[in-house]
Amino acid sequence: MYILAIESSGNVASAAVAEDSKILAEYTVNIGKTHSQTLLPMIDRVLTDAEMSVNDVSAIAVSRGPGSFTGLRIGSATAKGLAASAGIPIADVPTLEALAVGVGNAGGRLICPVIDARRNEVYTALYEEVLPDNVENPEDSTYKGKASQSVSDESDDKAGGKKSACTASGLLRQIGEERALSMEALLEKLMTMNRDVVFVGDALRIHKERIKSVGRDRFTIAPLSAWDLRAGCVATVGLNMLKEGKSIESSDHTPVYLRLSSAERERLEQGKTIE
Amino acid sequence: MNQNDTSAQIAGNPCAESVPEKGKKDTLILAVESSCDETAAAVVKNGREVLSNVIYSQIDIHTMYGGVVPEIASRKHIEKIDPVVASALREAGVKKEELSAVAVTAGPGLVGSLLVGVAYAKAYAYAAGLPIIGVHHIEGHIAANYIESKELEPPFLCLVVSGGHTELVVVEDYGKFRLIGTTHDDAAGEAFDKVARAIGLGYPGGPKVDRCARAGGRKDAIAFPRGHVDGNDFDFSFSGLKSAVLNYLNSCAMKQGGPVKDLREKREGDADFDPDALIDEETGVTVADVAASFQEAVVDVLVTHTIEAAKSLGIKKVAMAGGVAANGALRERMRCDCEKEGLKLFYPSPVLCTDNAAMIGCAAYYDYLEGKCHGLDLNAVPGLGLGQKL
Repeated sequence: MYILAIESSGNVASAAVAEDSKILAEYTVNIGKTHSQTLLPMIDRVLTDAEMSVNDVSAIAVSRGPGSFTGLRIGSATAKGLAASAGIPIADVPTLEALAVGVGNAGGRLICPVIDARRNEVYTALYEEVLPDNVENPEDSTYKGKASQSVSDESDDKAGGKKSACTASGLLRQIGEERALSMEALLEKLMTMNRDVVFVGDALRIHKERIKSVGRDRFTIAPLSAWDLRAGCVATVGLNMLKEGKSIESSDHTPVYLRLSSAERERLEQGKTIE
Repeated sequence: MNQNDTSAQIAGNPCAESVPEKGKKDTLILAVESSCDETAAAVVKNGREVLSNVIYSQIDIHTMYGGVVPEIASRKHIEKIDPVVASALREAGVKKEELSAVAVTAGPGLVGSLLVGVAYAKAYAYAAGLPIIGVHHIEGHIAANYIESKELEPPFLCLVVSGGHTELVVVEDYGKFRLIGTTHDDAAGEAFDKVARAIGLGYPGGPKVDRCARAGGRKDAIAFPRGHVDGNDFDFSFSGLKSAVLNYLNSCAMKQGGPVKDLREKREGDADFDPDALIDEETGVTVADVAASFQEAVVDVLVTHTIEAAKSLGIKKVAMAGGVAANGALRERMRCDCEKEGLKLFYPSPVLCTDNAAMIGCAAYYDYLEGKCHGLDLNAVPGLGLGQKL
């Protein structure tokens, strides 16, 4: 089973072809050219190098966001065009999860991907590795004790007290929901959780020092090579989503922005003040 | 990707080889248009026969905001592109394998909106092994006339009028254009939107002003200025006219004892809005009169410039294109004046005037015949000029 993966949610444009246990070809650029110019030629290149065509792949994995609105749409539109034309499904891979998977062995630490969301915020979520005991028994008491707090208190309430759940790929457990929030608010939450945390993502370029000074020995920074998401990681998550039967029709895929457009936000705010 | 890769792709494009010998096989083009707030797809056979023309309009959403919000438009495009393209193929009864090429609007327009269509169309074409043809939006509007009038062939003069454009174009041949007049400030459709907003009619301005003017408005009630640009008789200017309308409204409102702003706020989005509510006590002028007089000023300038250009260039065929070309008053006046001057007039039916993909498929057909196709690096160009190479 082959998968073609696309990542264009941030500054990086990346394409990869992968099969079950290996990446056959991957191409990544971070050169400031528009994704709309670079992405499809890169897809053509990885397919050519892997000696195959779109018709040989079982699905398109696309980094679904959060990230740059325009970047996400270029990736989504490209994935949709390929999938609709070739008649194959889409695995819409959570960008934050793919970043977290790129960390590799977290050694029991929480994994906290942070993507620069501008406006002094980061897109973030919390993950932990799937350990044999919490796969079989998610309500296991030792596990519960560890994940006693979440990034998002509200989502805990909505989830009826459930602290974490396996992601669609089954590769990680996610604690709480994907969110956009300030780095200070995120650090404050994490400090109350009493866990070791490893950070990854492009927002580290801005916040690395602050994280280190707040977290002392409990907060660590993933290697630089994992900060920018590559399509190979998207492919890994996508392949596992396929195995779990979690692929979707092209028409059912839309990017996950985590934010309203500014016009919608202003409209809602105005509505509130009138009330 | 380095330069060599890109040029190799263009050279290796199947376009040149797949041009059919005339009369042998039908050319079927799947076209996509997403330059503003309509998500559209169409299948066009041999350039002028529309097999399907699917349009998803976002107008209801943007009306709430008083105009097109680019980010919302882009989000809607990505949601709707799949079902719209699927419907276009289904309605046409055409399978992917039967297509000859995929065409897409590459500019001008809103960059976020354009990018959705461009990325989707390129990927669709690539996976199907088809050539991709990037089309200029205005060339598409002009080509809508070919669909409507099968006998129309270049050369002719075309007045392109929409929310973003006011241009006089000499269509010398298929794909060969000469711009002879353009607006120095607002586009005609933009002026309609702004004035409609000022008199409380809301968005979109064109159809609303037209309807209001027809509801008993007198087009000679107020003498609004006709914009003129020194140095080029065929250029346009609408900002002076817009200011004149706003000044007129202000003076009326002052007489009624309050600034016009208050009146406008009351009307915005008011379902019970009565166009007669604003009355100049001295002159008895109503909103319907303002709408009719303003519309007359726009139409007068558009028609006069077009007729003058046709006469001075010795062109006997005149066409109109773009959303404002669906305006009833403009169509009537242009028909009347062209008849007087012995000019043959062409204009598309309203559905082909506003944004649609059939017109993009039609324009692409003539590029396809010429072997003009694009590489996988085709980009959206929001400020693309007419005749500018993609």
